[in-house]
Amino acid sequence: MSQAILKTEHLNVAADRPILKNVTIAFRSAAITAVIGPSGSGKTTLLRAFNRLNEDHLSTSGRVLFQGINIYDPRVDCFRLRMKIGMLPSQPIIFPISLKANLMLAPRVNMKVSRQNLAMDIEQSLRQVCLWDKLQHQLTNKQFKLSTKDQQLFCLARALLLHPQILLLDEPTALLDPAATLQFEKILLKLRSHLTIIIVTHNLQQAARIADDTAFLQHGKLIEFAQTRELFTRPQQAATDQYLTKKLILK
Amino acid sequence: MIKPRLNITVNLEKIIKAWVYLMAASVLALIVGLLLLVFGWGLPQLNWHFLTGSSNYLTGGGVGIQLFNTLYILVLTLVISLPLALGTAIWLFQYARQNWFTKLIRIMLEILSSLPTIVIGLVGFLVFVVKFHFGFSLLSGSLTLMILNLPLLTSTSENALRSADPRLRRAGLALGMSNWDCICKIIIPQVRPALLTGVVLSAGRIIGETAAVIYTAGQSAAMLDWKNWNPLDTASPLSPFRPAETLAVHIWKINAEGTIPQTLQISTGAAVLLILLIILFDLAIYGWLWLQQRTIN
Repeated sequence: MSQAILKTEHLNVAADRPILKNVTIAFRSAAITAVIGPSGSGKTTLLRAFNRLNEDHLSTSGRVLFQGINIYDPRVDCFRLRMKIGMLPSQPIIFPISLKANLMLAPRVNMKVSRQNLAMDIEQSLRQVCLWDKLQHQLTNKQFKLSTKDQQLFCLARALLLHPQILLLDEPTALLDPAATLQFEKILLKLRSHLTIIIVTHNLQQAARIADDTAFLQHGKLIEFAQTRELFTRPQQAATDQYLTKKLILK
Repeated sequence: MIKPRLNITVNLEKIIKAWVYLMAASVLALIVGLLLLVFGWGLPQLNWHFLTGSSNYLTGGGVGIQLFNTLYILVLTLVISLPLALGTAIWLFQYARQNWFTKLIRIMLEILSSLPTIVIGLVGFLVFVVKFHFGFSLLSGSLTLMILNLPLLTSTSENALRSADPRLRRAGLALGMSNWDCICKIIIPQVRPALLTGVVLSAGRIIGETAAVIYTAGQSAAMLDWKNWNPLDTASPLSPFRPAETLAVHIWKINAEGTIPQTLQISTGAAVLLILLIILFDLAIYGWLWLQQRTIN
């Protein structure tokens, strides 16, 4: 087992009532971890706790350690943190400017990278998501039409451009058809060699296909966390077993 | 099949439709009639002499200085109030939490926007003219107009910022951009037309305001030395410290005093000029927006 790059210790997140209760979990580096659980179990809140993107009115206690540093330490610059821990929401959001401007915006603003240095990076990250051939000639065009799949891949490339160490994915394939989902997963598996990926998903087959580890969350509590094969074939907790059975039978 | 019975609903529908059309048509007629009237009287007055000459108690004369003063006070007021209004709007939009303090500020802005303009003029007179010793000047007038203008500009700016898709901001934050960068680089470019609509509305108010500037910017249009570009010298057109009668005040004054022979001709001419100014300002802003949109595409 490789080392933990990100871990939480007794993480509690609450609005007017608790959303996450005492979650302690450690994520392996250069691996894909899936977070599964019923709707409203706190999966998205957990994901957002990792890059401090939860709304201001949510109170957080406990620790989230990224490479040994508590990210809720007031001295931590959460904007730099969000570059190291990238995130992709389920709906692809492309800013209404040209594709190239979209890609350049964050690196230019956050890190003052020069345009020349970025050109190489842009090609590389678009190649990583298999969009370079398709998009290289319409990067400066403001009137672009992209399929949902291409939009999501484009957003992935935009996040990769900041060279994050961890990538948080919130149901990234919820809007994609099965073929596009498989292509997206293939790209994730390629990225795994140098990137830690945490993916929230409702799709159990997806977790089974790509995740090295899987965490099961219910009512804000971490019920079970194990290697994916273990969790799916020999769940230790009754609640996990119940959830898996129900989901798989309903499919 | 529905049998045709008493056709009450259908008839009512027809009546209401006719009434609504009538209302819309009367509003249109009102505006067109008003414009026709003012333009019919005023347009013939417009000539080079009227646009550039200075007013004269015996012959009436032109409104050149008033025209320049109106433009100057517009620019000066916008320069003072835009940063204030935009800053407040950004604070209300981004940083303010929903608590008693924010509510208080919103209530204060509402009260401010419903104050009679003559009251604001009086406050401007007592504070800027008398207390701060700015005298009757463009500066006093602009500061007073700023007070008048602030609520409208703040609320239109805040609404403009809120009209942006909130997911855009989230996406920006997820890319490690700061709140400030998200506003400047993502939200403001997105809502620029709505922001500028607020500016256009304010400009109309500033250009047309009379009561608030009578006792602050003054009622005299002293001769200006057009070769003097030193803004600190009160004889210079650029000086914000000189008294400056605007077009709207000029219309009010010549009608109130009645000493000039061609009161009607001059006031209608000035009225047309005011309307043309506002139309030109709007056209300039929307034209600029359109050009920008075109160069991006």
